[in-house]
Parts: sequence; structure tokens; C-alpha cells
Amino acid sequence: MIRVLASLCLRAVVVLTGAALATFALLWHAPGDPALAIALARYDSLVPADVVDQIRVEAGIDAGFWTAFQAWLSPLLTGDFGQSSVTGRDVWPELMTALSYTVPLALAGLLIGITLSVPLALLATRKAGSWLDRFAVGLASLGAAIPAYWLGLLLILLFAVQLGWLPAMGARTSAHLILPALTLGLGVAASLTRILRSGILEARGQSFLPALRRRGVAARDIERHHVAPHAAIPVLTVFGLELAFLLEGAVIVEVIFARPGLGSFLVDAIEARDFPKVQAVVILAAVLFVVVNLLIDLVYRGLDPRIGERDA
Amino acid sequence: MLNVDGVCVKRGGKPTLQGVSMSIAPSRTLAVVGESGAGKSTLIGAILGMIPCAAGTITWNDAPVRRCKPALVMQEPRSAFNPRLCLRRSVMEPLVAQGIAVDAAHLAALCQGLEISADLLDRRPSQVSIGQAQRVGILRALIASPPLVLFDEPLSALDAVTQKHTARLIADLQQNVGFAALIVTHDLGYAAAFADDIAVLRAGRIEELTTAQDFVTAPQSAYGHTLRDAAFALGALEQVA
Repeated sequence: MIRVLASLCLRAVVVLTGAALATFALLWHAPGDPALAIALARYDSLVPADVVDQIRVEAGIDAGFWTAFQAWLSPLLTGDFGQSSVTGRDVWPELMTALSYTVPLALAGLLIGITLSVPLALLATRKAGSWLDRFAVGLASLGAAIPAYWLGLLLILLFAVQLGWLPAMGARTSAHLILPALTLGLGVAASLTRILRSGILEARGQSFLPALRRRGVAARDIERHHVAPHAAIPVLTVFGLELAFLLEGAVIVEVIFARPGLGSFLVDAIEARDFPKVQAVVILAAVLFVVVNLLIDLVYRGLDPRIGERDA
Repeated sequence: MLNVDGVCVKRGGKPTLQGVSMSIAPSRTLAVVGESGAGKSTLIGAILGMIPCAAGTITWNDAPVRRCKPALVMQEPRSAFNPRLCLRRSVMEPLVAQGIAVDAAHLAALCQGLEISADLLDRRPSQVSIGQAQRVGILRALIASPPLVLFDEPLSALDAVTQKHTARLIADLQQNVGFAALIVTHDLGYAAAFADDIAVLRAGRIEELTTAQDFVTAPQSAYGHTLRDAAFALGALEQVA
């Protein structure tokens, strides 16, 4: 177990370093002068060349790629995300403020996704091929086909403009969370329903199940001990990927519904070439992915000991 | 005693068993042979109640056969177990589910008869050989002491040496425990050596039902002759004859 954990942690370090390096390289080599972009964001107008040069020195841009990367990475290892190149303020508190809007939205979206997909998949798999199954598959396919930005606009038109039940823009009250969370959650529900349905159907087709039924094992026990663990494996895999969808979706949804959060934080930082801010978001997302996938990897081993057997 | 009387089965509108009749007394073995598609597996499905009969009856001691809870040993031993669980759990689960106490002495005797060590049961199906998995499959079939055991090609996944060894173990256990056995097989050599009687099934009908010795020396039907001669040509019946 210690060897497995060590191997998983080593993989996590490689992924995090790769993500940090790739993002830094992309920003560094993006067209245009990064010092000029920071100056424009900082002073909101054209500035003299000597000011731009001063910013270049301040931000470490003149020192070359590897020196600048090292200068940014070293404090990060102690948990210091540095200061914004534009405002000069610490990145961490600003990032936390943005997250305080995005995390509830992502969690609400996930909750809606799970609440809708689990009963729908269970209903669909009661009788594969029935009208209910076809309805569920159709609904899930439709949900997966509709992009979040279009669904968001449709929901705004219906519930905010036509019916006037819910607010469309901003984040002042909890009611402001409903439409963005629905937009996010319906997409999650669509993909989870499809994968849950196929996972359950595949698990119910395992060759050893008829023998258990014949030997008098109750249907409920078969579902709990033999079908559910098998069906959970693809669901967990998709769940890990859904995390990417949730973050990416939350950023898009925040723009549609004019909500503050990680979306506007990231877009503003990229426009201003605010390296520390962009890097903070990327590192945070990478850490989140790595931790969730590490946990999923461990849960896999609990559900199917053969996975650990192959690694041994 | 198992009594199969005039059983007809239709699948997809086509008859797959037509008026099949046979009987097996306790401690006796009937081997059902025939080409692929003859209806051998359908017969097992019908006896287990998994495939409904269009006509005829299947009884054990004049009661519906399902009451005697016949056991089945499958052709593919590894796929008969949950690959994620240890074999011990797969063997015990049906008993635990039905609240049947496991008789430790009975388990130990069966394990000894089948040459199954305690540590073998603590492994998963992927951690044992096919021969070992098949022996555990037989253990699972016999653990609840069923009076009737159905074997669906029990040796076909095994190599020749393991086939012979497993066949011997099954025969010895039957002598000790006394269950009635129905063996579906393509292997005429195995059928002739270990079964008391042989039924030749062709296109859903019983072509002949005779003792194993008579089948080897003088088959009653033309198709029986063909099967017997083919087995001789392949050397499968030489030892028995």
C-alpha cells in the first residue's frame, strides 16, 4: 500500500510540475509584450517606455524564461502564490474570494447532476429497451448535445424574461444561484445518466449472476454486492472527468450569468498577462484534479482488488 | 430420481427439444452427447427451470425438480465466479444468503476430496489455474448437498492431464456423496469411461439411450454409430473398449 501511495504521489508531482511549466510557457510565448500588457492593465492607458521597462524588471520578464519560472516556482513550494503583477496585492486572498462564488456553483451543479441522474438511470435500467429507457437515453443525449452557453440563455429567456420567477444576472442572493446551477447541473446529469445506465446494464450481464440467482441469493444482495461495485467503476472514471467539466462549465456559466468568480478572475488575469494570478488558478485546478483522481484511484482498488494486483 | 418426461422446448418459435424423456437414479450418471446445437444446453436450462417447457414434465421424486435445488457446474470455471471476490466468499455466499449453516466437517471432506487447500479458497479466480477454478466450481455445487448435479462440459476448458484427474475426482465424490449426475459433453471417451448411461441427442430428439458399455460395443442408432466410429478414429474410445 505504501508503495502504491508513493507511486501515485510521484505521478501527482510530475503532473503538477508539467501543468505549471506548460502554463508558464504558454503565457511567456503568447504574442505581444507581456510587460506592455501589464502596464496597460495597471494604468489603463498608454505609458512611457521607461515605465514598461521598469515593469519588465519588476515582473522578472527581463531575466529570461527559466529564471522567471524558477523565481515564481520557489515561493510556490512554500504555499506563497505571490503578488499580482497588475495590482501588487497578494493573489491568494483574491483567489479565495473568487472561489467563494465558484465552489458553491460547482457543488450545486454537481448535486443537481447526481440528484437527476441516479433515479433516471435506475428507472431506465429497470427494463432495458422499454419506453422509459428510451426516454431516459433520449433526454441524456439531448442534455449532452446542448452547450452550456445556449442552455443558459434558454433558461434566462424562460425563467427570468418570460416568467420573471428568477434573477438572471449577478450573485447577490441564493436565488441568483439557481439558474447557473441548473445550467451546469443538467449537463452533468446528462453524461452521468448515460454512463450510469450503461454501467448498470453491463454489470447485470456478468456471467456469474445467473448462478447466484439460482442458488437463492436475494436480488437486493446481488444488486448491492455484485452489480453496484462493477457499475461504480466507469461512473467514478467519468466523475473524475466531470470535475474538469464542472470547472470549465462554471467559468462559462459565470460569464453568461455575469457572476463574479473564477471565470472573471481568470479572464481578467489572462488579458493583463498577470502571470501569478493565471498560474495560481492553473495550479489550484491541477491540485484539485490530482487529489480527486488519486482518491478515485484508491477507491478503484477498494472496489476491484484486481487493479492493485496488476500494479503489484 | 430425476424424471424427464416428454419435454418439448421452443426457442424463437423453433423446437429445440422434442419429446425428450430420460431418468437418472441417485448415484447414477447419465451423459448426454451430441453435436453442437443438438439441444444439450437447452436440456440443462429446462431442468434448472431457466428455460420454460412447452410440454412435458421434469420431476425429482415426483415433485417439481426445482424443489431439490439442482446444482450446476459450468463449462468456463473462472467466469462462474465474481472476479473481484475471493473464492471462499463465492462458495459460501449462497449458503449465507439462505441462512444455511456451513458444516465445517462437510466442507473439509469436500475440500479433501477435490484436493482444494485452504489457501486456494482465499485467492481470487484470476489467481488460480483453470483446473483449480473448476474444482472450486464443483465444491460450490456440492456444498449444499444437492441430490442432483448438472455438469455442462465440465472438462472442456481443461488440459488432458487435468481432465483425467478432475473426472476421477468427480467420480470418487459421487461414490462417496451419492448425487445423481447429468453430464453434457462432447467427449465420448469421458462419457463412456465415467457415465453409467449415455443419451445421444440430435436436433432436439433422443436418438438412443443406452448403457455406456452397450454404446461402445453396439450403438442402436445410425447416428450413434457415426459418433462412436468418429471417437474410435480419434482414439478417444480405445481405452474404454
